[in-house]
Amino acid sequence: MYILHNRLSLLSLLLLASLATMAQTTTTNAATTKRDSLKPQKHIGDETILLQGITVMGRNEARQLRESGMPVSVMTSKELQGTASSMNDVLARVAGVTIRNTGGVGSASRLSVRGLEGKRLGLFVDETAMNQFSNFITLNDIPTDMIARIEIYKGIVPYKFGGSALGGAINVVTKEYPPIYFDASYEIGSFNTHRLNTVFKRTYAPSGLQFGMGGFFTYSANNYYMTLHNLGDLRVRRNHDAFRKGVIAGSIKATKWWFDELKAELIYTATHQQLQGIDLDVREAYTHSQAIATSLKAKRETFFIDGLAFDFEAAFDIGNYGVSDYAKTVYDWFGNSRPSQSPLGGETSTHPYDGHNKNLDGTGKLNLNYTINRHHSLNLNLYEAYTKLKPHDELMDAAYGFRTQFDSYMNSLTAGLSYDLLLFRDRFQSAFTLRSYHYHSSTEQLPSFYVPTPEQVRVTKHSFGWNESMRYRLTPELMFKASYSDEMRIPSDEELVGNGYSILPSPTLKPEHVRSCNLGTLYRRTLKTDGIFEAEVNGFYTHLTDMIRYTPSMVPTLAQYVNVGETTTYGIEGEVKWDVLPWLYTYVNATYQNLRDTQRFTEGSTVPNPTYRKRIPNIPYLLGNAGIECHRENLIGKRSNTRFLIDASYVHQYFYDYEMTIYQDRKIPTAITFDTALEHSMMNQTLTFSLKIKNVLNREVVSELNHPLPGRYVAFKVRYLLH
Amino acid sequence: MNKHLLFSAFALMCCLTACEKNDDPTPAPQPSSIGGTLVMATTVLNPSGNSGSCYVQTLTDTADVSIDNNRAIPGGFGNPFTVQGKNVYIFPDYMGQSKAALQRFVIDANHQLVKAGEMMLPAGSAASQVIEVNDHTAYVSCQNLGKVLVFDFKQMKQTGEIDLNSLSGAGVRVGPSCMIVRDGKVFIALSQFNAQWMPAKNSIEFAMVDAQTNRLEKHIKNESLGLAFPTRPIDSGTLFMDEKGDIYFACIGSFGLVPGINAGFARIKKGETDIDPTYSIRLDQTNIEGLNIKADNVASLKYAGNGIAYGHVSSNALDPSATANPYSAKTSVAVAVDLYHKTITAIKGIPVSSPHGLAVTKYNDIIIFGCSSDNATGFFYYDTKTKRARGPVIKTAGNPMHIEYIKD
Repeated sequence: MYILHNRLSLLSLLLLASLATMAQTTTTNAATTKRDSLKPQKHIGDETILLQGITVMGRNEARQLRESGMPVSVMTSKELQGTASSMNDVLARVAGVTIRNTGGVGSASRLSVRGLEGKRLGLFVDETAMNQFSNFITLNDIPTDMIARIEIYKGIVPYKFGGSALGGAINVVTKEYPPIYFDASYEIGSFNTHRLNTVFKRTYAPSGLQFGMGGFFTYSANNYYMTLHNLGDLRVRRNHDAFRKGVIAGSIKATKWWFDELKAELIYTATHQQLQGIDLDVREAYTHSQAIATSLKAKRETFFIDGLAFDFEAAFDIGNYGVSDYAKTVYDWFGNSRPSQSPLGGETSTHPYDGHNKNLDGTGKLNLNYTINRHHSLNLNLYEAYTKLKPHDELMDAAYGFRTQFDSYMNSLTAGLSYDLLLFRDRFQSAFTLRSYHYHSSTEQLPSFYVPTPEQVRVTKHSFGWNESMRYRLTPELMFKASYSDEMRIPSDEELVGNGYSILPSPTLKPEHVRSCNLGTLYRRTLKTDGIFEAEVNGFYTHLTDMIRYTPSMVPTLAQYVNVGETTTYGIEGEVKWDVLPWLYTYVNATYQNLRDTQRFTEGSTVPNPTYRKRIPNIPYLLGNAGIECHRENLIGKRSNTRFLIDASYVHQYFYDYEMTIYQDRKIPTAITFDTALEHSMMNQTLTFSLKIKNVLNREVVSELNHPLPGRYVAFKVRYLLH
Repeated sequence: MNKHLLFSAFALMCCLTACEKNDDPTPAPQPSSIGGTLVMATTVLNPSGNSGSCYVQTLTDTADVSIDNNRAIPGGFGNPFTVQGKNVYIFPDYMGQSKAALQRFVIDANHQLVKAGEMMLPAGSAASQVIEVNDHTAYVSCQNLGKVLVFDFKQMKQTGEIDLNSLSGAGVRVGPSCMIVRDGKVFIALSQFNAQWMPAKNSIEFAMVDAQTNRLEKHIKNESLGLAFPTRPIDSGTLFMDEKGDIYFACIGSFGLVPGINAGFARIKKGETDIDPTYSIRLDQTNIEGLNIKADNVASLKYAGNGIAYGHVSSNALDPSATANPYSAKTSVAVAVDLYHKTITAIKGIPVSSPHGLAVTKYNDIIIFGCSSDNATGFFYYDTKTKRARGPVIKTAGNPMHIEYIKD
């Protein structure tokens, strides 16, 4: 394995060196253009872009992203609409992406790209990092109607995004709006689910000022039936899983000031979610959170010097959150009761919670891109993230008899210097990034939960990483791409300083280290009917060391993160998208990802690791999606459009534990589900009606072994769009 | 034509053989060279860190061997199994991550585990021990429920329950732990623990239940010996009776984590129903001979006769990371405890183990110790006649959590 890493590194460096040499001999007097390898160009219409007064024929943004060197999947608005009710529904259809919800609307979910999951992924909205604010808002909260496209980067995170995500990144690009835009929709669905979304944008052309307001409210009782296999296949109705979330936001954007774009946003969010019991009939516990967040973005294409583009953004939130769990009686599903473990209460734990934790999060990103000439450009990206957590839970402290959680903060800075290269009449493109990671954390920590006197812990760490991605277009339709990375991931704030209630601080964590490479090819042809035929295959390899893992502490219901383990992944994914007929579109994709434990010895010993080379459990390894969409204009009335969609999803059976014995019984069974939708828009899309049925066949689907998911879900949605 | 027939026959054979999922294969017969069966459990942690698997299997030889878990039966993580006579009871996950069923297995003629029935338990009950009180009735102690469930172990059906919650102390909850039957009375050790799963004071408590009526008859309590937390809920060997009919038990105190809450040994003398106030071994007052340190906790135990018990005691002094990393610290020492002379002696030749390798059992003159150290994971043999240890004789894939010897 080590030799392979070295060879890959050497190969990449050699390629880079030879290409750099070639680049020096190429003509450099061409018109200067900004060529961020991934940055979408401003577009006029779908196919034409305007660059410094010269009108050239171009590709649309989605195609440009697909054809960049980095392995990226793009879901356009066409693919977003239809059967999906949320971002998770959409992402679950992407090759190499798995979403594992733990329940209905608002439930926690695990998102993974090629098997690397959770905090290793960078989550962005319009390139603004969301990971830092995940206590209050998640990607899944964003209404799909607001989204123009979703970019899913696999393996390498684009340098302009900043941060230290490892497994890839998901960037949600929201829509650009016309001068007056009003979009309102309401969806009512099974399990007493209601979703209300609204966006209003007004642009004043002479001043270049755009004002926006919007928000959404989601409520679901999530009261679907579930079968409890751990309790002798008992069938019960969920009775304590109501979720409600409201978000309101306002923004102001200026496009004719000194900056090409200056935008300020203010968001308020509030969430309340009951905690559904699975093994036990939890009746009172819930979580709550609320936060105010603000952000400022500034962009300028020519920042004092010709060719230097400036992109800055800062975001800040202040919020409070916690778990409330102080019932003094615990019930099972048969109606039996017993006193809570602690005399002070607690249905979900051995102790009660009444958390009112406060936190402050801040992020800052500066991106400077300097175009040297037609072939070369440099990019500097600085990304800083700051978190301060002030946990407060008097009830939990009372149960223990001393203060259990302490104030903490962490600060991280990631600096990335990138070099872009474009050669052979733009047939070859390369992007190299060198990154520096630095973080500092400080907190107080109990030596154990039985010693009430805390110790001060301060940690500072620093490391480096790099990545290289390239693509070569053999013909206008066919291109090859390759990428390699040797990078670090800075532990998240939750991993380092805990969450104030169930996760203890682990201030001495080391960064995770990943080496990965990707080889792929993309064939894309525009058909005579204006449709497309696209086929893509990617092979990938990832080696992760110093893996950060969740580990129980001495107190059974508390946990913390530790650096343990090493995994290797190799896999292949393929996807075909095809406009078969002017009215028929179809897609199919499949992913095989083989994640193996490659730690030879158990941690800190010379004892052979019993799970060495075994498949990493609880992660799907064979999955696929397929779908068709039929559409017909003016089928019922003029200026109308009618669509019918079917999406199918397949996840092969996988094990919850390592496969150690032929009698292994804890497995997540194979799931095949079908979703369908009928959508009719009229008056040139001013009014749209949708009928969606998810899990049409009402199949039993479970996640995480013991988390039953909803059965058939039927929803009706009406959308009004003024544009 | 013949080719077609041959091809069809071959295709049919492939269809009939290739699709086998092998979910319930029949184990191959194994002869026993030890006059019985060793039942053992190993544990493997999942990458998520908060769950894992336990594997239970049998062995009929004591020769040097490496075993994997390829044909092992999944058991409950945290508390694998207990043995009563020739019945092996496999528990669900102690923390409630698996099917909430208590399974009874028997050893067949081939010394393999064969399932004989199962009984659903209340969710999250943290079932810890089973004791058969007569030829058809057994008790299962449920730590989280504060109850002992009474069941017909032949039918594997619950027939009643003994609610002990009324015995909870102030600020703590009661959890029934190990149990033993003597003279028609069942002595149920009681854990009184707080939100940290720790005792709040030094107190040894038992419930005495009539085995015929299943009724609580007495709440036994002693606060004078300065010991707490009688018996380790997941180790039935920490409660036993010697040849004289005296009941001995280990107290696990506070795992050495709460100063002043002590671990050690105490007893209930034959004919008595109270704890003997004149007898105790306090770990905080007793050196481990051979190491010259004191132990904090009794981690596992097996009575071998003549007043000698073998097992592991843990001493946090052996590993500076003991309080920060309690699950990985190497603190558990194999020892011989002389209950009559009140001595604890370290056994040389067996490495200090993490708390995952605490198995101990007796086979003839051999004491088999589990050990998870930095250099070896498996079972070590200690010959009680030659006083010599060797190993690991049985190398295991995973931590040697538990072992029992069942004589044919």
